[in-house]
Amino acid sequence: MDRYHCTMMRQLQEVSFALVELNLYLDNFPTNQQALADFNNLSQKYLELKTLYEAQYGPLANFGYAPSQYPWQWVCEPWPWE
Amino acid sequence: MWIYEKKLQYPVNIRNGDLRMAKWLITQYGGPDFLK
Repeated sequence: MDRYHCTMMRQLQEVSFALVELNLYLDNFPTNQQALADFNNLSQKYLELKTLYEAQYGPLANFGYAPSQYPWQWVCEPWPWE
Repeated sequence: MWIYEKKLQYPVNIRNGDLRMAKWLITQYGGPDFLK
């Protein structure tokens, strides 16, 4: 993984960490509008980051959620533990 | 319902492998009888 790849992945991880926390909070307080607004803003941001990431490094999920360049990036790009 | 995502939920940087610790950890994830 090059430096830019690591930075992109780190940004995704930061946003998704916040999203999981907000998700759990909202499960307990579904009428909190501030939390909901934060969640919606971050999920928009996550979508943008994810689109950028996947354009460069291929799909983050299988089952056809994102296209791949040649050669098939799912298996040719490094796994999270590599 | 379940989907594989090619990223870790939390960034992990393994500097040195520790097989004993790994075995201990996986029993905690799978319960005390996991891998017995």
